[in-house]
Amino acid sequence: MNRRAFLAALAAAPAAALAPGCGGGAAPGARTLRFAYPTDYKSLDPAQCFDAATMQLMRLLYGGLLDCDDDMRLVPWLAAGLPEVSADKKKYTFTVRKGVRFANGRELTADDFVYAVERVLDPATKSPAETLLRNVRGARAFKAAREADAGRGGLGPGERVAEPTRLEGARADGDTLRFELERPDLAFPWLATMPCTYPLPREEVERHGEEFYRNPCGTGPFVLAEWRRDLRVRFERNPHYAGRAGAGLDAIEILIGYDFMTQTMMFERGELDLLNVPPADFVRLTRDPRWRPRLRTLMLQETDFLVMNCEMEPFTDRRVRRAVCLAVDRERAMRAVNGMGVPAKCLVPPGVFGHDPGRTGYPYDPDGARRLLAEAGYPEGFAVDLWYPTDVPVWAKIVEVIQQDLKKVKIDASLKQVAYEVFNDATGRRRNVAFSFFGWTENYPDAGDFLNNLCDGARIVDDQCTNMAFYDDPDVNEWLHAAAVSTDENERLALYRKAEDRILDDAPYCVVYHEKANYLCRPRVANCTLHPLWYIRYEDIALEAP
Amino acid sequence: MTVRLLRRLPGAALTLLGTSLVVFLIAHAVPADPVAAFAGPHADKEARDAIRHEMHLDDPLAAQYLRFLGNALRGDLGRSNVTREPVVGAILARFPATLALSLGGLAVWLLVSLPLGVLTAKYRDRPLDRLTLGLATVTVSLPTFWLGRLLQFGLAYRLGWFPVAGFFSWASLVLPSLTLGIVGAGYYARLVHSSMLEVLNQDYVRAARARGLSEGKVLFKHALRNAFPPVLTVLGLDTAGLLGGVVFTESVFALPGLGALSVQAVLNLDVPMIMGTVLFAALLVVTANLIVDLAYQWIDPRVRGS
Repeated sequence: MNRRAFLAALAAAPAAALAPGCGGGAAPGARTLRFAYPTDYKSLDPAQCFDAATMQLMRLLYGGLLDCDDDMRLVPWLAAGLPEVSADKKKYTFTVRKGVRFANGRELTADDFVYAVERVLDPATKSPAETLLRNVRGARAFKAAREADAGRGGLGPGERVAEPTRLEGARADGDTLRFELERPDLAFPWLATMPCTYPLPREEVERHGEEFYRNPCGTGPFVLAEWRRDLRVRFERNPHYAGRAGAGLDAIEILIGYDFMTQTMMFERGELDLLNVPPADFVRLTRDPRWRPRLRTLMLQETDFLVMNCEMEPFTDRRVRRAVCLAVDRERAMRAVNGMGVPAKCLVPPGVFGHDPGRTGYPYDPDGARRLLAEAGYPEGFAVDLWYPTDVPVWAKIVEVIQQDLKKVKIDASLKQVAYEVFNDATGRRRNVAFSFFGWTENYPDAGDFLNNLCDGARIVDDQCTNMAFYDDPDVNEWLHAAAVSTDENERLALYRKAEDRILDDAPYCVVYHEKANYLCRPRVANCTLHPLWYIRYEDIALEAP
Repeated sequence: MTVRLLRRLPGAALTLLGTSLVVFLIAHAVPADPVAAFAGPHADKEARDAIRHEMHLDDPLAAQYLRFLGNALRGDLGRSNVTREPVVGAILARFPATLALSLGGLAVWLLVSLPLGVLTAKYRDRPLDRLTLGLATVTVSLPTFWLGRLLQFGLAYRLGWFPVAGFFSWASLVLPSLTLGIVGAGYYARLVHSSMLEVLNQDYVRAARARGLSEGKVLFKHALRNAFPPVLTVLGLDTAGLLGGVVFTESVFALPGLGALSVQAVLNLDVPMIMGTVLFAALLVVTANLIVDLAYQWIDPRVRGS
């Protein structure tokens, strides 16, 4: 290669490199909503979706039988109305709305819902949501049959041989869709709002195979126009969508890989339309008269807490656990993070069925904590490692404040920050981690999602245990099991509250706070309302043309 | 040259094999559940065990490694455990951003360090020399994430001369390239300076001057060419390092490069992606070594003769 050719190649290389990224600033549609996100989305397959950020995108692409309005009431979405429920609360019958089309133009049928649920239960899908649908009648037998099919090999896409080939508890008949459960579950209709039950066109799933996660096809107001990993995701209007959502936008563009500091700078320079305000900039931005009126605050349905392993010293002693609850100054912790949350008094957060607004919680009482520790045989306190994961930046600040509070009652907590996977593995293993900090966000707004997962002693297993405190109280277990299958709302409420009374008294978890999210939007953004379950419903936003 | 290249290939292959084995063992020695990032916090043990089985993560380690190796030889590094993205595709998709940034950084290194190194050697112990080498020491000591933030804040956020971040146009590359370039240029200026000092005392430089050649020709054509081989060795390896991913600079400026991919892979304990990115980086280093070796022959006829 001569010098000129070499220099030409050298100059051309970055030009070629830039080609895939070009055009980010020039949106073909005039009304393109633009915001940024720190990390890339894992999958746009509803069966793989479990995090809040991806759930927001699911609403753009797909739809569910039911939705949840601003007052957290269930309302019909792709169903013509709310379901008919049998007297034993085991059978739910929906009528699927007519005239709805997938993005490929094909009309939606009730069988598309059945297919989606069966797909989640098929082990080959590797769906984290399989846990949620195990109560559908025949789910285990269906799973076992699909495992047998996988072992047999040589089957084509979607081909099923082993019986049962269909899921017994999900049946489509014309536009009627019936679900039958193994045990009554009044929270079941909430599953109809979640991505794991969103209808899928079988032909598209089978056509794309393993690549379906980046070739979504749903009934939502938008379609995926572009997804360049770690760069941007772009959605454009779905030509087959006949509803009202998304009418205020031509496109949505999400820039990927921007940390919060960078996002803040870009928002202030007008390069982004929305900003999830980071704690570090919260005070500055909310004091700025340009932005103060545009701030929107949302209470997340989440509780963050210290976990005390009831099977490990010194937390086997209830007095020690209660002492920790008294030693933590929750107000101070919230001040340290610029008010990005509210002090928690209970495990079930506000807005979730079963939340008791009358609870007073543990006061900040270091003297009381010292007394309890002395009674428990720890007058000089003790030393313990406090584990917490790296993926929530604000927790680093909060555990530092807690560490200082604990020091005042002679508990010497050494902070141990680890990657989420390490944390999850370590804290889910029996008698492995005594003390940690974690949070629980709802799958659906029901006390059972918090209490059954976190406190049911019957769920204790040797590893990957969601009951991270390994708390096991026979009465609580009985109440939780009874509440889970109760067909009477009032009885459920009473059982969950009774269980939570006992849990808070026994203190396997020291509840610290419920998180708040703060958003800013630029003046051209209208109708940006926040929702407890979906945070921001992008499809409702109307954007003024520049 | 071909013989020399062929002689080096088995060693290079062995290096890659060793690297893959070490990385595989380290990734599996970490006490963490690789399914956690994929399954999320709400999947119970039964669901996670089923996912683990589907991903073949419950196979014996040796079987997993041999399967990886067999597939790798066919050019298939598998799929990410977290995003299900094909590893080779993911690496190739991120490489352009890293390549563009590396070339930008490299250009700043050379454009700044070569003239500075030559001039400071020529004017040794003069104020220009002391000032430049003092500045070089300062820039070498600057952490890239701090310098990047400073440039981003001043030149993009405050003055609006460049985009704050992203990968949209040539302008997007200016600040990241400057960040890399400023830090590296100081180091290379010192390197060129030392190498030039040795060369400037050689007889052929005196002879060139005695022949009446202009000082520019003496310095940049005769002296610099002879002073360059040691610089080239370091430059080759550094370039390979850059191409393997420039983690901090990519993070600050939201460039979708290999650095960001590697960090996410490590944070998610995404073993196939970790293996892929490390092997790719190792491949770049091995290739850079080969290229430097071959370039020596081109620059220095004595090496060709040996």
